[in-house]
Amino acid sequence: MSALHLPGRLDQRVLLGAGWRATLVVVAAVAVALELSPWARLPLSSAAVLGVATFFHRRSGRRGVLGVVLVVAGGGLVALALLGLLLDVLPTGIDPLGWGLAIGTTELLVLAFVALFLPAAEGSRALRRRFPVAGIAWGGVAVLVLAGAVVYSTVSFDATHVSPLAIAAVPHGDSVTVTVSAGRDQGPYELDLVTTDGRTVIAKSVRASGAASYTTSIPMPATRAVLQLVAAGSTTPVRQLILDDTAATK
Amino acid sequence: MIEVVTGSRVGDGSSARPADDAGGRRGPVARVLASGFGRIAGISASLVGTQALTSVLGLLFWAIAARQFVTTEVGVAGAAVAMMMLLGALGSLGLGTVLIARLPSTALEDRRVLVRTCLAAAGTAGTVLGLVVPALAVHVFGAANLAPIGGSIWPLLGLALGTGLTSVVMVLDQAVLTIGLGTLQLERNTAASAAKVVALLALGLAGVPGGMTIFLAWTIGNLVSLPIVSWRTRGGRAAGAHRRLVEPALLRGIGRLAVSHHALNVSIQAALQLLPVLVVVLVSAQANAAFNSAIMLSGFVFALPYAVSVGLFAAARGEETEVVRRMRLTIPFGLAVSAAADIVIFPLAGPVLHLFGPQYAADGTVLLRLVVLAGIPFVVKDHFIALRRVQGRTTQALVVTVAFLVAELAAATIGALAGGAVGLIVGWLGVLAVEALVLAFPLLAAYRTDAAELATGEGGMVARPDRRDEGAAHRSGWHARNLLGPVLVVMALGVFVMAVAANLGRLGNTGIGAQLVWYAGLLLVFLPAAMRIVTRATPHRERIVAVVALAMTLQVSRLVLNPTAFAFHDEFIHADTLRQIETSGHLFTFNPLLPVSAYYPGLEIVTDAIRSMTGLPVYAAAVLTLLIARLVIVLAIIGLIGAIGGSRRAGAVGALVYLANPQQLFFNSQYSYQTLALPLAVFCIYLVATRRRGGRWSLILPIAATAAVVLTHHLTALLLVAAYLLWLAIVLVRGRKHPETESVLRMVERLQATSRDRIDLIILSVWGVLALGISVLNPGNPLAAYLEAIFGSSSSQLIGLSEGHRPKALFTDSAGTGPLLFEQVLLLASILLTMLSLLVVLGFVRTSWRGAKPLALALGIVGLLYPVVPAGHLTSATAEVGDRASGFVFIGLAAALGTWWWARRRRPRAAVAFALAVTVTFLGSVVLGSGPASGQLPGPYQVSADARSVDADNIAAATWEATGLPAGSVVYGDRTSGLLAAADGGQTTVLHVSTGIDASRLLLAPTFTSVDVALIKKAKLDYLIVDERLSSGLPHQQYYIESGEYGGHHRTTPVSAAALAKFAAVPGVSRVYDNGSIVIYDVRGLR
Repeated sequence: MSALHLPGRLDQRVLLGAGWRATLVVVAAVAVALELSPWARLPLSSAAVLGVATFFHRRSGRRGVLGVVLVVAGGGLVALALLGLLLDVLPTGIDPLGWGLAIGTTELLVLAFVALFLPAAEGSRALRRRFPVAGIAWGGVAVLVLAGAVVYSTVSFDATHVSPLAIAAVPHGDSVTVTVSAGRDQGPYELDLVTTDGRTVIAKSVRASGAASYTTSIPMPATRAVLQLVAAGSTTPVRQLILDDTAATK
Repeated sequence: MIEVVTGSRVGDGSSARPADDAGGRRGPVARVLASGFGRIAGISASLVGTQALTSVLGLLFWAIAARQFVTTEVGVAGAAVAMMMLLGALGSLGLGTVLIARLPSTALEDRRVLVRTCLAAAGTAGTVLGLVVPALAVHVFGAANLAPIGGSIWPLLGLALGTGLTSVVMVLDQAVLTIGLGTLQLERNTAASAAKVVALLALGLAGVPGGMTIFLAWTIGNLVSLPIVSWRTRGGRAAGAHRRLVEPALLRGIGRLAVSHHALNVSIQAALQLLPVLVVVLVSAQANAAFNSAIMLSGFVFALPYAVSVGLFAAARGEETEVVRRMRLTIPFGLAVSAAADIVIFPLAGPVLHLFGPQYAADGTVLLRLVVLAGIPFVVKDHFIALRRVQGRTTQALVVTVAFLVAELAAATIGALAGGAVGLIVGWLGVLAVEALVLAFPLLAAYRTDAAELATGEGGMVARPDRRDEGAAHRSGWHARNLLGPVLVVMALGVFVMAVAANLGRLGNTGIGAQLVWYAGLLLVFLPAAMRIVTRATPHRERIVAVVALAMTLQVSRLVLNPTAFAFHDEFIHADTLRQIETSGHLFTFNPLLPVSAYYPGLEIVTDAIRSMTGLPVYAAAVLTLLIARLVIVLAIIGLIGAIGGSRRAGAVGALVYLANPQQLFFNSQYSYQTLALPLAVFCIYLVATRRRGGRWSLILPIAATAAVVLTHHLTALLLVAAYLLWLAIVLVRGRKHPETESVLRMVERLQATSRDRIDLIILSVWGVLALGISVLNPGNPLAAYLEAIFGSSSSQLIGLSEGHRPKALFTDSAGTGPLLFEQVLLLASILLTMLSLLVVLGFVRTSWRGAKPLALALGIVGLLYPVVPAGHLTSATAEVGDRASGFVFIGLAAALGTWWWARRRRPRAAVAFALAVTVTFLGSVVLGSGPASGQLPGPYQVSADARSVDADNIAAATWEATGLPAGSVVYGDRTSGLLAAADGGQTTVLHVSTGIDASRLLLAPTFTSVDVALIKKAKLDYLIVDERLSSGLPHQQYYIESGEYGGHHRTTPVSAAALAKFAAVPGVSRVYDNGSIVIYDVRGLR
């Protein structure tokens, strides 16, 4: 390990390299803290991490590319876990503002450490290779096929996981809000209230779909009652609820 | 077509240099002609002219079919003909090419026999393909829309006959060109087309219905044209010198010649022939009627640019220079023609399609306008292929075209699922556009090379560095070429195949067909990468990237099962902790699903950080976390093995072996704390092994990483500390001894290192113990009780086993389902192979002992613990313990096997055998760790079957709970309902493991009693979630709810429906939710 390089002696190139990366880190941290759109946060955060990683790679003499990637990825996971522990004991707690500050500060510290304590690697670390067009093309095709597989699975999953027809009742004081929902077009049904006094039709032509559910409010029955969703003209319930507030009134 | 398929030269072989020297004295047209474009134009015109007549007749055929038959039948016929053309091309086996090459040098008396032999072979192959492929498509892959083609015996036989005939005429057409009867090809095709039209009219007038009737007319046309050929080629000796009609021996040794160009030709045409089949399968036969018409009409647009590229190749007479220079004209010409055709077709698409009928115009106008756009990328593709043919690099061209074919079909499939026939074309065009961009680079490179040589005044043939490189590569074998790109694409294709299997499962098809497709996908992912990783000649970078890509691809493959949400038991536990961190902003809150997990929140912390940094949804952030963890572990293993053995190539092989461990695809891919802790632990060992000894900062990162492991998972932290201690013990015992062959200098260095290791390992061990102690002392941490319960359960079952009791049936779960026979074979083979590898581990241990390599020795000792893994499956309690141990034990196996494999040179056959062995181990380990494929695949609901119980009904109920019930309400439900209620519903689930209350009788007891009321009061229960489907079967994961549940001991019959419905009759209880499967009771009135 070389001696500490005081700022006055810092190579201008190193300063520049650390400088623009530090700016990127700060911008990313602000985006995270302010909870900007994912379209902003994702690329900025990725670019900031990449910037720190490439700076480390340029000045890390011992480790090759594999070692650098491993240390950055593994070290990153370690840092996040321990930073979370730290945030937990701070009054702010674990939230995006805390993460923005903590991660930004950590990345700046890493940049400073690397600039000040790690000497430049011998020889040029810049990868001056031919742009691997064929490799990128093949990789692009592979990623495309993988993405296609995931998209295909997502479409398949969504198509086969359609919410069933459901009826629910949520009491609000003296009334009950009844909701009929479904993932695809269902209906028309009839909503009936059955008590010891008989059957009362609450609503006809009840329909539900993925775009819209049916909601209505009814008074809480004084006695135990059954709320049934039936096909028009039928008394066989497709779905049914039980409304029994008798214990609460005792 | 002769010159195209063989690359052979036409004419005297002399280089035809353009008369450019005299260009200044000629007019522009003369200059163009003199440049050789005239020759190209001549050849192209010949090809187009030949095709034009038959295309017009073909257009007439389909127009008549459209008028006489309904659209569904036309769609079926279109798919049948497309399938027949493709299978016929495959069945021709490239024998037409063979005849073109061989006939001129074959003795006259043997030529007829050779031709007949080739025709017989092609006919047989085509017939077999026509029988097998459609039958598989319908009966195995469930392509119901293809049933009219291959679903019953007579259509299937008809298709087989037609395909065989197609193979025969394809070979015949090329053969007649060779024997100097070029016009015979035109005559035969014209006769066949005319006969098809007549046959179709006759069948239509006779009132014979069905799409296969149209197909029959097509086949009749081919059949009728054959006697014409026979008549025109009559005379000569029929049997030749062999006195036989056919002589298979004549085909010996021609395989390679046939395969190369044939495969390339098939791959070029496959997409256009498969697209109509895709439309039928994925959309409908009716949609294919218009689609097929659009494809057929677009052939007129594609024909000219294709003919130009063929003419380019033929006219160049094998001179690469000539091809490159003429491309400067032919590419712009082709693009211009295609663009012009697109512009012309746009307004005329509707009127042209009216030839088929108004319905075709209505359905097909947009399709035709889109399809013709493919002409532009085709120009680039056709020129690329022409360039590669003349360069003699057909194999590379084949690999490229096959890869893009896969991508085209994948994109077309996705597009069809998303947007029908239009979506299919859009998806296909998207990939074609990318393809054109990618393939333009080699054309540009060839053009620049040629331009540079022109500028320097070099004339004559362009130097062929590619051919020299190819020759050099050939001398060292194809193994030494960089095949990373194709391997990556094949692996990705494997994931796509797995996605297809998953889709089949979701549609209810979890039978043997879907399971085989699943394993086929796994095989495609694993085997090609394994082959490249273990092959010595593989370039180093390719090997490393391949093993990393394999690890990442296997992780991504999990997404095809559950692409949008968590589905496994442990995932919900950690999802609940993550939810609580998000809502409370603090750690160490109460997790009712597994209280101890909340005290080791490393995984959730990292996920929350990534979620905040990126803004991604929770599930996406979790997936990203797991991908990074996977990257860390595979790189750490490579680096670690490299550090102990000095070779990262050994590390890559070791990482491959590690990926074959039973938990890699299932448990260690889930969102669970061990999934992060294990990579961090290996990372710790790597950091220690590669640290700069004596450096001031060398222990900072290992200490921090050790703390992170402790923060993430208790058992892994314990094992990490144990690993440090084992390493330390070996250093102490073995460190002073030295290898016999060691030099003095080396011995001094090693002793210094050993001394440093002792100190550092002591520091790390102490720190690990301290950190673990702090975590245990965290108020409320129930780790001790948790471990005691596991230990108690395991030991009691082991004792029972020793006394002759068998608590767990081998090969079946608690519901009686188990792996199929071939899966059992795979499983046993995997165990056997791994046990055999222990011999290698023993050798590794001995070598490490003698070589005084403490870390290597420690890893070897860990590897020798492998028998614990399969032995654990003898009891249900130890099964999980054994499986979880595999993630650690396999690190030792990886180190030993990777080092052993790279210790000396291996023959290619040995590499193949090793790769196959690792692959079999991998597949068997999947069965051991994940269960049979029938359980891995999505499918209809199963009782208490982990992910198979998480279906739309359960998810809907949990989603409602999140908004319909007060947050944090105390609920009770079965295993799946309870997990979802906490993780997705935001409720507090009562479980014995967290509350000490066994409330299982609320669901499982047959009648409602005062004991239930007491339980509700004790648990302060608000809601009871009842899955009425529990009565439909026994639980697959041993329990409906949890261990020790009511009636759980030796359960042989499912819980009764009456037991599940008992709360419906209890006064004071309301039912507040019903979705047909799940009902939720409000039991607050009973408290």
